[in-house]
Amino acid sequence: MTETSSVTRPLDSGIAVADWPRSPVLWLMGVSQEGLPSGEEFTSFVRRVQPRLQRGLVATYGPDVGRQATVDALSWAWEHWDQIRSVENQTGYLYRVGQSASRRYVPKPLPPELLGELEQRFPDVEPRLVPALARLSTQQRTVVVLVHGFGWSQADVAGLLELNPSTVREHLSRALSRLRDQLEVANAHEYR
Amino acid sequence: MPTSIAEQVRHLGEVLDDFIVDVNVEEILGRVDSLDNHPDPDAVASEAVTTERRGRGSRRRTLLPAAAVVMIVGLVGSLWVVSGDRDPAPANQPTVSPSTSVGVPSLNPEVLATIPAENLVANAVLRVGVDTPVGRFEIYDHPDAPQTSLYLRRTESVIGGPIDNITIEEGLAWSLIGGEHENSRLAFGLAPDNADYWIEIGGRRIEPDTNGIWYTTVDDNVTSFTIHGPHGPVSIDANPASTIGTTATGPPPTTTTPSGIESPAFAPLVLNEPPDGYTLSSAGYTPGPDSVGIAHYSGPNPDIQLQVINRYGSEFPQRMTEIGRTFYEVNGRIVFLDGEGDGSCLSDVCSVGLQWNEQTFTSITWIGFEGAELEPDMNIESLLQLVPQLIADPAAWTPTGLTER
Repeated sequence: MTETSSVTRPLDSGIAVADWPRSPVLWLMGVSQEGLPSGEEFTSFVRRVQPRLQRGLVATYGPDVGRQATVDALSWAWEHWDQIRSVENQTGYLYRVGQSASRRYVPKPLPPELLGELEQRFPDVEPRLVPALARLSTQQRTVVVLVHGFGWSQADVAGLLELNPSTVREHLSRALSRLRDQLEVANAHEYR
Repeated sequence: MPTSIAEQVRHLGEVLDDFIVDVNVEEILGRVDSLDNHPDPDAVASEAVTTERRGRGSRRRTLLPAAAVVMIVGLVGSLWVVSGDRDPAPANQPTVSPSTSVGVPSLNPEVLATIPAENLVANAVLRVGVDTPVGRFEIYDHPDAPQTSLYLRRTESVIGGPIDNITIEEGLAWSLIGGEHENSRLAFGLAPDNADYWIEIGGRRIEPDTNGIWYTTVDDNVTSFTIHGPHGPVSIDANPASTIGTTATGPPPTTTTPSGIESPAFAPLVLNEPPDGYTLSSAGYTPGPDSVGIAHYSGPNPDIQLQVINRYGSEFPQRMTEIGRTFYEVNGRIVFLDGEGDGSCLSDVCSVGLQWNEQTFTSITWIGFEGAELEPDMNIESLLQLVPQLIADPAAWTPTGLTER
């Protein structure tokens, strides 16, 4: 048995184990505790990380579970402040924490109100689009929603998912191809 | 002129964005507070996640305890959308998969006996219940969603789940479960309204009842059957081997044990010979699309466990490789460091993982609870030595709630 590679980056292992040695109540009261950020520091951190983190998780799990996973991931960041502050790609790291957290939630369908609003505002959207998106692999769905739904660059998506840009491009291409097949859209309808 | 798919996704993103409710710091810390407020894991089951605090300085999370299944069963669905949605396969497409491929937790008889029928499906209305020799079929309407639920209640389990109405209208709402009899399986489904619809199977013609329900046994030597529906004949793959599932994309397939309990989608791996002093204390899994199973091995220190964590998926090596994880070769298998952080052992967790087969990736993990630190010999090498001991043993597993401890 030989070691053949070395490592440097974080990963969600599917294991949620953490100690809670610190009190958020004391923290909110302004009591200084070792290893925790200041209020200003953490608030600033949340403002910076949360928008992309939450959209990433929403693209993967939908608005309900995606939001819960975001709260869990940021909660994890608070209690592991020493660890997260030294991570270069904090959003990507917390996305993986959120992925792990999402396993604790029962998957939920898109809210009926959302589907109703989609139909009302954009009647040209094919009703089978959402079911077709659900049939994509998780990464394909995440990539296509982030790129085309939320307007992210492929490089940004690669950063969040910690993938090579070429892998993101491949996921996007396959996702659109599968959507085209499922929606029976003619090839004349372009990729973007 | 039709709108491009990219444009349609953009429109969806616009609406989706409007439904994103930002989180704030108080809520984030409130999640921590909630641990203290809900010491009983069942007390927060209605939030679809249970969190339990075990003594100051540590926490553990419990996934879908048995008592909570009742409360969440109606929420089970595919990520994003109604579950059971599937390709409207053209008549010339050779095979399609079950409409209820997204599973619903099966319930043990004790729990089942306590559930009023209307509680099986949240926000749904029982349309009709039909008693048959194979069990009681129940159809539920969802006033607030374009889906219909079909359940088969049996002595030992409840099988079925929500199906999107498009699938039903296209005549493709069917399910195939194993273990009906020694050499047969059970197929059942829901026919569309007002359609000329019948099933051709093993030379027999099966027609739905007045409620649209149809069912039939399927001998194990039958490898396909045909649905004659609104879009013409559609051939269904009923090969016993293929119903186990051969692809790891999309939701995992649902299979059942002979007792009708849903089997895990992954290979049920345990250790043939655990380390000295350690014995298998339990092996439970959560049925359904995100099926996860953990085999717990207990040893001399009650706060330290060895776990075998099985999950469904095929992209584990790719993910590990992409992030540059250290890997080893053990008996011809590539084994990665898959622990938290950078993968190296932490004071309370040390883990390796490998892709077992197309459907299954698994981790072997030392894990300390209550702040317990791992012993020096609970290291990567000790885990690598256990890889050859992995075997699939379905009998060791039960579809109970999943606990981390």
